Amino acid sequence: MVQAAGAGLTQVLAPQPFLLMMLGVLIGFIIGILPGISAPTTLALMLPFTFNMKPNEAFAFLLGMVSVSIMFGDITSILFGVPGEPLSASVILDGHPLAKQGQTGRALGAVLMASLVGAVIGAIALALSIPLIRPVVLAFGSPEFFGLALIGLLFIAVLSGGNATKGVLAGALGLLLSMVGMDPQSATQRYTFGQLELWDGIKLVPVTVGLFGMGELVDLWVKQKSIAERRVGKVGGVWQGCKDTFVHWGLTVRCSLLGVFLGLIPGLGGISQWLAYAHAVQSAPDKSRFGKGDVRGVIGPGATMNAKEGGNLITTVAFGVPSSVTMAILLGAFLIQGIVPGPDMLTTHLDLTFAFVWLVIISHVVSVALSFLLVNQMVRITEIRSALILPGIILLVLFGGFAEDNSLFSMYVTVAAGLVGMLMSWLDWPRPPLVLGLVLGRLIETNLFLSYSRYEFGFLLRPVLLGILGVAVVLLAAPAVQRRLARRWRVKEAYLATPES
Amino acid sequence: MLRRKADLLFSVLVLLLVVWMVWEARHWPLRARLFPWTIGLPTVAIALLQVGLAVRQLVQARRAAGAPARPVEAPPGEDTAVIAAAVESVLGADAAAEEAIPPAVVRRRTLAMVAWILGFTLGITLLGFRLGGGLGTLAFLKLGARESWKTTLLLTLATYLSFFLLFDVGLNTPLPAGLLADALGVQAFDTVITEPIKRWLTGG
Repeated sequence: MVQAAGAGLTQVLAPQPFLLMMLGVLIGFIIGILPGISAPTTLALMLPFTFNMKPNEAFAFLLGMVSVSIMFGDITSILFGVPGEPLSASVILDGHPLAKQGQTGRALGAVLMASLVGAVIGAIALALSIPLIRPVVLAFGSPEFFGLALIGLLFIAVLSGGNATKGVLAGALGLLLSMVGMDPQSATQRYTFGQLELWDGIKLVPVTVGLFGMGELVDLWVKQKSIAERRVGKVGGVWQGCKDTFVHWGLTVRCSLLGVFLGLIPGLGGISQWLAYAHAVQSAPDKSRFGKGDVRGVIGPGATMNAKEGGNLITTVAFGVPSSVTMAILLGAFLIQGIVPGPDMLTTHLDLTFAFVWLVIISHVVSVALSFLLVNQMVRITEIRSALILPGIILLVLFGGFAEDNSLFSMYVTVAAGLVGMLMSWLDWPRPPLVLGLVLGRLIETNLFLSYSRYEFGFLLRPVLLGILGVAVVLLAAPAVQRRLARRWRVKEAYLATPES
Repeated sequence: MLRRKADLLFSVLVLLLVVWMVWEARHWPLRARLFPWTIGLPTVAIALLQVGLAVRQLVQARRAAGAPARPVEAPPGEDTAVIAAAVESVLGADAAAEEAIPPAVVRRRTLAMVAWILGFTLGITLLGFRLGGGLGTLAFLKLGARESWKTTLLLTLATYLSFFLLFDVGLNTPLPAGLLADALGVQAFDTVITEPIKRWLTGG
């Protein structure tokens, strides 16, 4: 294990991966600070550039970028009250009022340091989980992985916001789309209409880039302005914010652990910052400053947001079940690189798993250091009018589709996916389950086929699989049952309160 | 109301698609059919449920049209009240009002951007990434964004050169020149410009 950890560090510090990580950090830096372009879109746009990289190089590039773009979403929340990432909205509540009071540096220092601590705790959780999870993962067979992947998809579908039925349908559509092409078991052509372009199936990158990228292009054009409506003065007081993180050390650690836990559960990423904010309020003896500029309202969400990635990586790496759309795209990168998550990542590719741990830590340290040095310069990016960057992003989206297999057909798939994605967004159909279904389709099918070949439908009665299904049913049904009980309780209370009763 | 109708239509289309996918698999060997049916059959049931829900929502929306909206009651505890107040003060109605863009403008701009993306796609199909992308950038910045000629030409040149320098010179893997060039049997429309620069840069 220690040897693998050392090998992982060597992999990250080798010149090529390290330079690519720095490039990823730089891209994440710029994209993270630009509102509208979220981490999943950035990741999807950059996937085609990793086709010719080795696995450690590709992940250095991608993980470096993701870590930073998530962290940097908080900066625009504080400076302008506009979240750079949709998930960084809760930092606005106290971060922006602090900035308005002239304590911009303090808020930035607090959120960056809390992010760093959260990321390190998340990475340590990932490292510590490896020896604990390994025996479990190695004991699992195809039926259990089949069940886990389906349940992961179900969780994302139900919890990704909006209508649960639509979420489940979107996930199922993703799975059905993954079936297009040559069937891997019997070489039967499925849903190809005899078209050569469809023999290899519908690829992840064109669909993802289209689904997320086109919608964000439209958003940028609809808003039609730069986010920085006022210039940001010299940012000072950063060290005070850093010190605040350690003054409220307990809150930072608790929110980080909360982030790791929430990261383990597929679909809960979207509410993690809000839960952290709620915890910061709930655990504070004096709540009077919240909403008016309390640094604790910045520290909690900042720590959770970045610690969550450690939790997300645990389920993605060990079970092949991504907990968020970012991790689903990263899982796509695994498959592009020919790496199958699961037992292999904890045995043959253990050094790569440890490389992830180091990557998360090092990329955060580098980006926090860069942020402190360059934050005054970087915020100028927010003064760029969206119209000036739009043609470049349109071309990047279209090229992202084209680059999958150098064909115009894939570019058309991107455009079609974009139009469908916009329609879905307008009609409140969640898009992440569709991408996740597409990513997981082949893995689920392989595990289903292996399970069926070995046990026929008897595999559905395996105790571990039944246990997993039972836990999933309880977790999924709990909120509905809780709501129903609460409603019944309120009706009863109202009845008892009436004078006649 | 339009959105409810569109939702119903979309749900019906999804149902039809899933039914077709299940039906299409009926003659495949078991190995190929196993996954489509394992996923597809329950999906048909969920799609039917979704169509039912969409119909119900449409009916409810028709009934509710014109009826006064009921106020939402939520008796908050102390912590909930603090959070609700914070959300209201920073992200509340006043803040949202400042950001509000009229729906007609949103619709117009959305359609315009979709048209631009389709235009770029057509340009790239006909003229390739280098020329199509460059001309698309020029048209967008001048006609769509109404930028100055200086900014427009600068960014157009940057786009053209990015594709040329990265793919033709740097990676030595030229991107397709487009269907028009293929149809006319020419290598590309801009070889007069690109070839001398390439020779000069590579010293060839």
